[in-house]
Amino acid sequence: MKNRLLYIFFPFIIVYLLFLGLPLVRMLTFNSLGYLISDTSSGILASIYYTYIIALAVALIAVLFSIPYAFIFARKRSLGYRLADSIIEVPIMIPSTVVGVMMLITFEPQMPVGHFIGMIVPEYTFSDSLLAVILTLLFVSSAYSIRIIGASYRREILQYEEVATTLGIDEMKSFFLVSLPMLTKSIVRGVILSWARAISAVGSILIVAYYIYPGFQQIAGVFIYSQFLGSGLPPAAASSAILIITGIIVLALLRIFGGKDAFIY
Amino acid sequence: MLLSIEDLSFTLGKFKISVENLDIPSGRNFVMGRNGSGKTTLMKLISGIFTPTEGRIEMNGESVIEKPSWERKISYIPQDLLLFPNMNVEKNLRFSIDHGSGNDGIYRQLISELDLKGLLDRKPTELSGGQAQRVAVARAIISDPDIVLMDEPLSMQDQASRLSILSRLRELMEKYSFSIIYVTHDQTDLDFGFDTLTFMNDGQVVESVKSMNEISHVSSRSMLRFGNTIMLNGEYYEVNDESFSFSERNGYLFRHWENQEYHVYLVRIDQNEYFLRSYRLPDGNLINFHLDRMKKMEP
Repeated sequence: MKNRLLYIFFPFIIVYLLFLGLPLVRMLTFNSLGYLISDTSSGILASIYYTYIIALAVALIAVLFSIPYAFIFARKRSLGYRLADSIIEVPIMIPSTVVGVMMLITFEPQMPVGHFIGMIVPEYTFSDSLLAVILTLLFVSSAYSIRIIGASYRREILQYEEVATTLGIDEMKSFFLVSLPMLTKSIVRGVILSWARAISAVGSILIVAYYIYPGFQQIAGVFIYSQFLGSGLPPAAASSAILIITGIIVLALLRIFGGKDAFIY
Repeated sequence: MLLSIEDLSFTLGKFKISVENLDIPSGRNFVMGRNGSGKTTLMKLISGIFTPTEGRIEMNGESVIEKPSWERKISYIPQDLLLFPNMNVEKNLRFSIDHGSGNDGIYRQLISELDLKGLLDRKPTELSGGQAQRVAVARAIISDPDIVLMDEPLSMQDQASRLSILSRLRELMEKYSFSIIYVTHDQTDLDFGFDTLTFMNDGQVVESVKSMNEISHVSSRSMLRFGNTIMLNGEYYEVNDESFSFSERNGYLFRHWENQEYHVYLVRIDQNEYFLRSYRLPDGNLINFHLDRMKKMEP
C-alpha cells in the first residue's frame, strides 16, 4: 500500500464493515445451532417459503411493468414524462407503515378506488388478502427493477436497437431480437433486487395483512414480529437467523449475476 | 439528387440543429465538423433514428420523413460500431438476411472480399479493432442499403486499418450500388477523393463544396490540418504561395519548420497565431502579406 490515501481510508472501511457485520454475526450466533434447528419447526420455514414465492411473483410483475416502462421512457424525455418518471422513486422514501395506510385508503372496498373495483369484481375484499400483500409489495419494490432495467436499456442497449432498425429490421423485431436478449442480465438483477426488497417489507404488511386469509399465513417479517411479541427474543432471533441465512444466499446470487454495478441501490 | 434536406430542425436537450438546405449526390460524401457541431445528430436524422421537429428529407425526390428507419434503406455505422455483443460475427452479418431484406449474395461475396471467413465464429469482443470495422461495414452493406452513413466508424483505429477500409470503399460502392456519407475529423480520410465535402458548425451546415478550392468559410478552413487562413484588419484571407513575401525590415515575425514535402510557418498577427503550409523557402526574417493576392473569406 504505497498510496497514503489507502492508509487514511482503510480504517473507515474497517469500522463500516464491523458496523454491518457485528449485528449479523450476533444474530447468527445468538442461539445455538441446535436451537436454530428446533426453531425450524415453529413454522418459519413455511413462512419463508410463502414469502419467497409471493416476493418472486411480485418481482416478476415488477419486471413485466419495467420493460414497457423502459421502452417508453428511453424515448420520451419531455417535461411531462420526466415528472412522471420522478414518481418512481417516491415509494422508496415513504415509511413502510405509511405505505400500508396508503394502500388501505386506496383499495379498501369502502374507498373510492376500492369501491370501483368492487363494482367490477364480485366479493372484492382488500385487507388481509393475498391481493393486498401483492399490491403493497409491488408498490414498495417495483422501483428497483424499473430503475435497473430502464437505466440499462437507455444507456447501453437502445443504441444497438437503433442500429438494427437501420439494417432494415422493424421496431418489433429489433426490440425482441436485439434488446430483450441483451436485457437478460438486467432483468435478472431487477428480479433479484425487487424480490429482496419485497422480502424485507414488514411495516406495510403489518397494516394491510397481519394474517393472509383464508390460510392464516404470515409473511416472514410479520411472523418474526408476532414471535417476538408472543414468545420473546430467542425464538424471534432464531427465525431471524434463518431468514438472514437465506438473505445472504440472495446477495451472493446478486453478486454473481450483477457484476460491478449490482449494488447501485 | 440522392438526398435533399430542406429547413430541417431538431432539438435535443439544449442542442439545436437546423439545416436550411443541403443536397447530397450519389457517391462519396464527407461531413466535417468539430465535436458537438451536430454531425451525429444529422446522421441520426437522415437515418430515421431521430425524427425532426420540422423540415424535409427527400431521397431520390421522394420524402422519407414519414418512413421509419427500417424502410429508408439507409444503414448507419456509429463510431463505436455496435456489433451485437450477444451474437457471433456470422449472426451479426446475417441479421438483416434472417430478419429483414438483407442480401445473401452480398453476404457470400463480402465474406471473401473483406476476408471475414475466419472470423465468423467469433464474438465481437474477440475481434481486433480493424476486424470489427470490417464486420461493421460488411453488416451495413449486406442489408442492401442505398446509403451507408459512416459516423467516424474508423476514427478509433490505427491509420493503416482505417485507410485499408477507405481505399476499398469506392470499389464496394460501385459493386453493391450504394453511396456513403462519411463523418470525419481527419483530413487524411479525404485523400481517396470525395464528391461533396460538407462542413458543420454549431448545429448548422456552413457550406458544402465539391473541391477544396471552393471552401469559402474560415470555420471550414479551420477544420483542415493547415487552414492557410489569416485575419488582417478584421477580415479573413486565404493564403497561398503567392500571397506573401519575406523581408528583413517590415512584416510579421514567424517560426519555420521544414519537412521533406513542404514548409510550415507559424505567424503571429495581432496576438493570434496562424499555421501556414507552403512550398516556399524563407528568404527573410519577417513575413509580409499582400492583400491583392489573397482570397477573402467569409467568417
